[in-house]
Amino acid sequence: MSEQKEKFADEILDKALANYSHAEPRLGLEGRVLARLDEEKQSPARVWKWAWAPAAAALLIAGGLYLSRPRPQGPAIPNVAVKTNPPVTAAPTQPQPPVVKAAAQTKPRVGARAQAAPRAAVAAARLPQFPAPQALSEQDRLLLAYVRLHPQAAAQQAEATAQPLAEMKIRPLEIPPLSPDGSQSAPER
Amino acid sequence: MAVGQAILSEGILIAEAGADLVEALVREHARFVYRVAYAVLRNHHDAEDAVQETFIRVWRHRGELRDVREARPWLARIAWRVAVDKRRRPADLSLEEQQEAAQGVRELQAQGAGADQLAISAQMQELLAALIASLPRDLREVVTLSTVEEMTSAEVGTALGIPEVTVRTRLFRARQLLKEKLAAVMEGGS
Repeated sequence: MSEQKEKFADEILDKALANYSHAEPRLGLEGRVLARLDEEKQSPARVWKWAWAPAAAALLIAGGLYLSRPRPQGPAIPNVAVKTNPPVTAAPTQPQPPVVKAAAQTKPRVGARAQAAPRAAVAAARLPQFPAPQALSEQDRLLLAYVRLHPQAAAQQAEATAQPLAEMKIRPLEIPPLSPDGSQSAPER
Repeated sequence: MAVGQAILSEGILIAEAGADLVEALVREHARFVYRVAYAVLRNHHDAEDAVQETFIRVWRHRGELRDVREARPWLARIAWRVAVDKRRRPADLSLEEQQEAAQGVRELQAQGAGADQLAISAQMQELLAALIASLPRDLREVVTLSTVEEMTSAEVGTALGIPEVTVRTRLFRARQLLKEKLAAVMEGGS
């Protein structure tokens, strides 16, 4: 390469490089950038402005579910009127300890506070209906199945069972007068 | 000294003042950032998009502004990354594009255009872009940023994360290669 051509190329390169990035943007570049920044500033605010909405919705749903949940069944209150103790088959020579005493022996002794807590729980879980509904026993389920299978026969049996009760009459009570010797005459039938 | 640079160098920023500072940076350096982006993208629309993206990144990291000592190279670094990410086409132009650009310059030269006229012509700018794109990456980065007006070697080094001496060395090598290629084009070769 001759010195003259090299010098010419050098000169052109310098001037071309000087103009290479000499670009002017459209008028109002700063304003457009600031406007875009304003949008950017507002977008997070919009997000945070409604950030409470999902949390509030979740709380509402949780509250609704809590209120509409099925009430927990309280501890089954033993119906002492219908529950029968199994017959004692032990030898009469060995006296059975009282039930309360046996329970006290098998369970660890707890303080008064610990005993009061279950009572409070039972009171809190007390149902408006008394006696509390209980699950059907095996006999109840068998009877129900029989009634479903043979409703007519069951109805007849029920009528036959109820008939004597309907016809039964109670005679008025008669008390014979006392005799002077202190003996009581048998009432006439 | 630039407003943002002066404030930044004094280190008196507080996080609440970040918004005002970003606005000051936009007003002071938006055109500079535009030229950095344009040097990479060679397209006005894409360059403006890159400017907006650059300042959005600045806004999102406004809490870190207190650690920035020099605003210009810091902005140039962000703009450079944004523009490089935004560049759709590969940096290396095809041989066909280079030859087309060289043909345009030769035609101007044949018409008797002088050095000044050639240097500012669109054909020469297109050819220079093709020649720069053909450089190795390390040289291409340095020469591209150094074409942005008022960008010193130190600022280029800060923007690229390399020492100033390395910038000067690479710039010298890049200019040598460009000059050789340009001379070859003007002599009639490719």
